[in-house]
Amino acid sequence: MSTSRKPSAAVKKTVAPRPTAKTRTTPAASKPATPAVKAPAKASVQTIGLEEIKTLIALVGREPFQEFEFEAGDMRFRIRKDGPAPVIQAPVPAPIVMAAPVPQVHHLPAAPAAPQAAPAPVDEAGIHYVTSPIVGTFYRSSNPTATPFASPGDFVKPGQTLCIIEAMKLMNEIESDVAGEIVKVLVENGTPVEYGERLFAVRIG
Amino acid sequence: MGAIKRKAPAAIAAPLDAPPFKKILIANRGEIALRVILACKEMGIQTVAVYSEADRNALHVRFADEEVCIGPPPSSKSYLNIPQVIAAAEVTGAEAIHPGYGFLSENAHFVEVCLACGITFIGPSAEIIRKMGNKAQAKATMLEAGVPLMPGSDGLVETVEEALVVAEQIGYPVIVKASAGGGGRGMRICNNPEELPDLYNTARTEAKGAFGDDSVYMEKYLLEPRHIEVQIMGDLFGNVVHLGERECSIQRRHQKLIEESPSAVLTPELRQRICDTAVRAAKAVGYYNAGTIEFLLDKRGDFFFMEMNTRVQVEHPVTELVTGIDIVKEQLRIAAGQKLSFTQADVVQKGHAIECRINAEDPFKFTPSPGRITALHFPGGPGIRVDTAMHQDAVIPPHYDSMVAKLIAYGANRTEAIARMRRALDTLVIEGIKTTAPLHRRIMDHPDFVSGAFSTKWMETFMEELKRNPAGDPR
Repeated sequence: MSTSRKPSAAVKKTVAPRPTAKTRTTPAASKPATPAVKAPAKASVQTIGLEEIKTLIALVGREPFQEFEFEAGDMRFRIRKDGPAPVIQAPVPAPIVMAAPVPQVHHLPAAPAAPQAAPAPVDEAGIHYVTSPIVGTFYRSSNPTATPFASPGDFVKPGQTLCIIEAMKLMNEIESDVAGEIVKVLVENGTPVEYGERLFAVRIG
Repeated sequence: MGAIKRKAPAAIAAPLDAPPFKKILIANRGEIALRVILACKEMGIQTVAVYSEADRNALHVRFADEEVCIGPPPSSKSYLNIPQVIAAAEVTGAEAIHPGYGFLSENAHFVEVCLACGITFIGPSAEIIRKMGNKAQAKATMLEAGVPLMPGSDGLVETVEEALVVAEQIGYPVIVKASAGGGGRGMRICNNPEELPDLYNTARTEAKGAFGDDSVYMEKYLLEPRHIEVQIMGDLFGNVVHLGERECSIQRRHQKLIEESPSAVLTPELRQRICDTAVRAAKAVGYYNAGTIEFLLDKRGDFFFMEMNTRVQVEHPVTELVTGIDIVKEQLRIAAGQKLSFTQADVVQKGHAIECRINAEDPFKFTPSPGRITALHFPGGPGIRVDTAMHQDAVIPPHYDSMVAKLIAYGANRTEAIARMRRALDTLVIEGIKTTAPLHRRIMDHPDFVSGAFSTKWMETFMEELKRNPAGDPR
């Protein structure tokens, strides 16, 4: 049987957790929820000028928002800060100076009804989910008596083995695709997992 | 992403017969996956559905007892991904895998992997699949078993003199074909020895021009050939029976559109000969489980072996309706090592059944029409069966084949079956996508279809007729 696989490549398919400011055309529904503020389309504003945009950028810069989205009529733009997400619990001084590159303002056509998007890999700020690239049985350690590869509180690096998934008598090592702290192990040791199932929650950092 | 889901069992029902398996996995999607699930439900077998991310909301996932996501939408990464399918069977404890049709159903390697992993493959052995899947080997085996093959040259025909000799042996008319050929180029039909030299040379010149290769071979040319296939079933004890024939001559580019059983043109004697030949062919390879032997039948009643399909066919319901035998349930029993539950004497063709394959395509241009079904109503009433996995708001993904439903009409005779199919097509509602239903209605109305006067080439002429008369005005 030629069934051996290198699972690490498959793991990497999950989306990078914190994209830099770039054009994203994903509908608002699928983006990170927490530190974003959405201004619903209101009133008679049809277009806004350069001055208003500058004011908004400055406003977003002062406020602890990570992302700002504005929609009016068929116009829509989004301001997004670069750099690490602010931790909400601990009050962080708002960055006064904008991180370079300057936040980009994108004019997007009014979004149609949001198509069904795959569940975002990041649920809350800075949390990334390592998902299973294969179907199999999940094991946290190399044998029943060994220490688990990764436990809550551990800091992991990309490429570090987090667990083993047994499929067709083969032990497939599943590696982390990010650096960060293990927050939670989402699957019981010795239970079956399917393709795309979330295994670990990792706080990026 | 959900974990592997086990549904709560329904209230405990009084047991019927002992099921042949406790739990099986269905390595397929769409209507055939659902068809197998229905058979399992009747037999008290637990089912495991596997699915790609594009099929999260599919009915086979909904109606199975357990479900495992095995990969992203492309078939190569999900439904054709052998390690994923096997792993899904292992983690759920499925004893056997039903492959349906397409995907892994005729993959000998997959059968070997199942065997190595201690999982029963519901179908024939890897050896049989390999033997019948290789064209040259299949022909050699059939020749040995005395099954008639399409007469032709043994390899290339190099000279006019040789062509004349070969033509004399196989009998006119003959067809000269470019070995690099396709699309009708480098192809000539010859009716007598007088015209053969010129046509032979023209075919070679044309082949040279079109493909840069002027090698040609020869075959017997069939006049108005019909596609006749025989359903066979065999068990592990060497019993092989046939379930009669199906006529599948209404096809476009080798894609079957309409199938029926029995054929409108077979005499009882001819039927007997074809079916006996099919059983002989199956026995020659030690065949077991369900299979189909396809023949081409010419105007004069000569028939020739084309190929064997070593799996359940799309069009199996027409045979089920006229014989009353549930082919899928029988497949499960055979795979579990049980003897065939019926003998040849038990198989009687009663009445007539016709199947129309309803595809998500433009009915006259055949361009695919994936999308969301906004309104759906399936016909019912006496003699109508619909095999489908469609539902209201279903999205037909672009990744897989375009068949959305099989509409099957049964009647006491062919006339009643046609009448039922017409009214079934008229009361079928599928909105949001285009389907081939209007095309089927036009065919059902056609005098050639009604009289049974058609061959595998009929669709070509019919398409021309449609171009001339697109609105379907009375002739």
